[in-house]
Amino acid sequence: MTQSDQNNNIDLNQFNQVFFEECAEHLAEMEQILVSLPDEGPDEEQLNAIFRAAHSIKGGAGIFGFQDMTVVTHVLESLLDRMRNHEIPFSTAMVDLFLEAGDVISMQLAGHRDGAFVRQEAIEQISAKLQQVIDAGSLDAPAGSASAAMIPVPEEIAQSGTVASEHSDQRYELVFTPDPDIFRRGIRLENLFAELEELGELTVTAGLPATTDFNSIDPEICVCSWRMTLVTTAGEADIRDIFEFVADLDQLQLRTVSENVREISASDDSKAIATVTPPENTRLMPTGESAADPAGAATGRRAYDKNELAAGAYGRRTSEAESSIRVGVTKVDQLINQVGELVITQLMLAQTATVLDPVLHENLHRSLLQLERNTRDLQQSVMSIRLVPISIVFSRFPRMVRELAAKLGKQVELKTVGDTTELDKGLIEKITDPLTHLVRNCMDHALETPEARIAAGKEPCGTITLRASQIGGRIVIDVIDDGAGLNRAKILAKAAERGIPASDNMSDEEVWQLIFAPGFSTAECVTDISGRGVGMDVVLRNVQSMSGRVNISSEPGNGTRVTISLPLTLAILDGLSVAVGQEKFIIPLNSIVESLQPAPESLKTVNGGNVVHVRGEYIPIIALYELFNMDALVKEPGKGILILIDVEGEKAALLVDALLDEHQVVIKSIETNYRKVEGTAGATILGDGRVALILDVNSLFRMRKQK
Amino acid sequence: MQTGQELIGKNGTGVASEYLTFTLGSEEYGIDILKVQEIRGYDTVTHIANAPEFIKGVINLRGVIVPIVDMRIKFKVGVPSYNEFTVVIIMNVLGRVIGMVVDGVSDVVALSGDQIKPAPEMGAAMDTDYITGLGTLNDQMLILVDIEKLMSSEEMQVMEQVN
Amino acid sequence: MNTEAGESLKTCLDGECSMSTVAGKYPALMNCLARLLDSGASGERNDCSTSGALLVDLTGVTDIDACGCQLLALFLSGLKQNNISAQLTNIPDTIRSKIHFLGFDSEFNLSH
Repeated sequence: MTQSDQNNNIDLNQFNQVFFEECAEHLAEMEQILVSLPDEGPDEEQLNAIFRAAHSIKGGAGIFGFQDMTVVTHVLESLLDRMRNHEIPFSTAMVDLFLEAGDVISMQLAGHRDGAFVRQEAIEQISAKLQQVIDAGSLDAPAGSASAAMIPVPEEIAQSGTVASEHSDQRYELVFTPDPDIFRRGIRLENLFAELEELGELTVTAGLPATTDFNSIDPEICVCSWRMTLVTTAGEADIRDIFEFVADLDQLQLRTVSENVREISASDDSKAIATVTPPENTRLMPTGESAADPAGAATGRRAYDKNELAAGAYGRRTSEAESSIRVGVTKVDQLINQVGELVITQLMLAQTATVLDPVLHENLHRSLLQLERNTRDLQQSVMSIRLVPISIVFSRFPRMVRELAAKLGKQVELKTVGDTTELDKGLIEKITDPLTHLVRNCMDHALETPEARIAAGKEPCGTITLRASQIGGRIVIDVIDDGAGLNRAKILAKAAERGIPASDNMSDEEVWQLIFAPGFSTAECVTDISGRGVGMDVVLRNVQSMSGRVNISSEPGNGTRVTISLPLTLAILDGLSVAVGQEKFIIPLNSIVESLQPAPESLKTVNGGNVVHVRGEYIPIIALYELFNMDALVKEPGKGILILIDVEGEKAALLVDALLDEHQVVIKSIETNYRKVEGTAGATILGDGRVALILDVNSLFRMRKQK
Repeated sequence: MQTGQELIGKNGTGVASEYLTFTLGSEEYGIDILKVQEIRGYDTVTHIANAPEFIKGVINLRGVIVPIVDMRIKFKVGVPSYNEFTVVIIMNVLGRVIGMVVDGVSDVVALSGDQIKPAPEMGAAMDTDYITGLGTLNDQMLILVDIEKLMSSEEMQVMEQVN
Repeated sequence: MNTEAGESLKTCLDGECSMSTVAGKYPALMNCLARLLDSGASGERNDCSTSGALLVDLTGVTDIDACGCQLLALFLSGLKQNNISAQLTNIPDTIRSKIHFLGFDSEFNLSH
């Protein structure tokens, strides 16, 4: 018992995680719909979608015992329900109210998930506000505008009750055999049953296993099963939906007993017919089938979703459930590892086969070629599992832009292009902050006020465009504004003021690069929107940590374009392999400027350190063998090869014995089984199965300074 | 009808644990067999910059980077030679996979509690802190190593020290 | 929990009867069953069904959930297996409606 108690929390968290994820998805969906609403208000499908998101969160929260989360969602749901029934008209101010409610629910979610602080007064405030709207019957005081915002209601829709009764009731028989852990998971069955009861007429009967020795039970383990009959107009998908969080497919058996209950109840011997239903009417229905079932799809939950398959309608939940599965990232990474292994094995095979006579072993060679193609394809497919569309990041901006524009008194339109462009999940997480910063910068600094824009002969409304695309092996993200453009004179003056080296005869491109210097900010006043000490230097550093690059182009009066270019995935790196003594190292290609064999006259000594003179610059030489205390064939800079590297403007020349090859390598962690190795950013496995360390150029600079 | 009283017999004290025995120089050591993942020959390692001498480097074990430590260098026993007979014991210690170079692997033996005596203060190349006891088997002394304690110790420098 | 010997045996449950408390209530119920068996309430005597009826008094129960219902149902079934008949009594209305809602009417021999 004590042992299972200990496991309890862990188990619970694991199950709750599913709810947290789903809940976050519902919130995101709600927000996405809200910010994209046209001025005339939501159409019926959008309203339904918002309603169902709120409803699902409420239901899940109730079942999982997060009672506090049901408070706000309940009021929200009631209000939305009234709106769907056209009892309360939509007004644009409601969007903000709903967004605020969404934020409060997010806060509560974070409270349960991460133990984040929850402001109780915010919960009370928003609940009160929503309730007020319900009580008042509209948000806007002037009755005229309220009625104007009302969408004309066709008679039959206004009376949703009659719509429901037009669909014939169905009698479902459910057998629910829950997970033995269901009590421990904190699931409240009473709330689950209450959800079901909302659909229609419900009877529940609990059953125990035939023989149980009372002395050897675990009272927290569920051994009961429940038989239910539900008479409802709702489809089976709706019923399955309610069990979404609590039951696996095999834990819920669901079947229709009769197509039309009324016919049966008209018969005298209803019970007999109900139990001796002809087999063709008695179907077990797995979720996968449900969306295809016309009856289920047409009669939505509580019969309010006219067409579940319509775009934006809430059919998403069920139709997507059958086409996707949730898999842990560790499982995917394991798969990627194993495929990486396969690629190495294939390389080794290919290497071995090179010594065999191509004519005598023609078949073998052909098969090996086929194997190579297959492994490459497999690797690409597996890598693509980790890819997610950038719309996940882009979707957070409409709301931010909307709010900032209001705050700044600017008119801004946000356009996104290439939402479906995919990049690695790890990159998605890291790119969010830099992009947020860039968009804030555009809003705050780049775009002018409507008056200034009109004075400059432009449209009063400015445009920010987020554009993502895949170009070759890289993902390119542009943040484009049609604002005033960068001001060359101002940047130069600022640089001088801040002691950043700059000169008037720098090219535009070089001048733009100055804004990436630490501590640089051209804003005339520091606002709370941007310029809080974090500048473009942070953006640059973040992007570089993802092996990415940032470029700026700008035209005075016409706007600025910031271009971020990223590798497709974090798991693979373009590198150059070099030899030092017996070892091989990988140098990331994005930090390499060039490699050269130095002429004797270009090598100098400064304060005992070797430097190389390249195009007017003296660049310090880092001898890798020295830094790593190892043996090398070449110890004289003049006899080896120098690789010029440049990271954030800091330059150095690495001395190596020889250049070997350029390739894409799979990045592996050394820290999994060992500790961090200074000067490296991980390791990779070469074609011969040996390990090579990947150099971290930044940390090489640090090591050199320490020596 | 029983009234909830359990009738489970008590186990004796003679539960035997199994140990993998190996030699370092002239001494015979044993580690808990459950910590051993596999035994393989010594392959070329990739050296790690600025690591202590007894950390030979890292190898690729089916796609996983595994550090290799040479106990003979660490405890100054035997002659660190590397040939086709050199053996690496791949272990699973505290969730990490670590390889340990030894002079040879001898046997798997079962020792019961009464066959294990507490270790005296001295006598082995290894610090007594890492020795759980001395086992006797056919007149031969076996030094039983607490491999988790050893590998996580600061002096091995295999794991990041948490302060 | 106390069990009174007498004309008809009686045991009381009180407080919250839910997932968070079943672990505490279970040993007491087990104990109760054991004592009933020791006292010979069950057995081969044919009149046991009348003289050995146990009343389970729920007056003091403040809340019940599915897990609590299950424990009670398992207890009643344990009694039945030993030929001890039992009846729930003094069920507060709120508790009764919860029992009904959770589908335990037939397990508890209640009519609604």
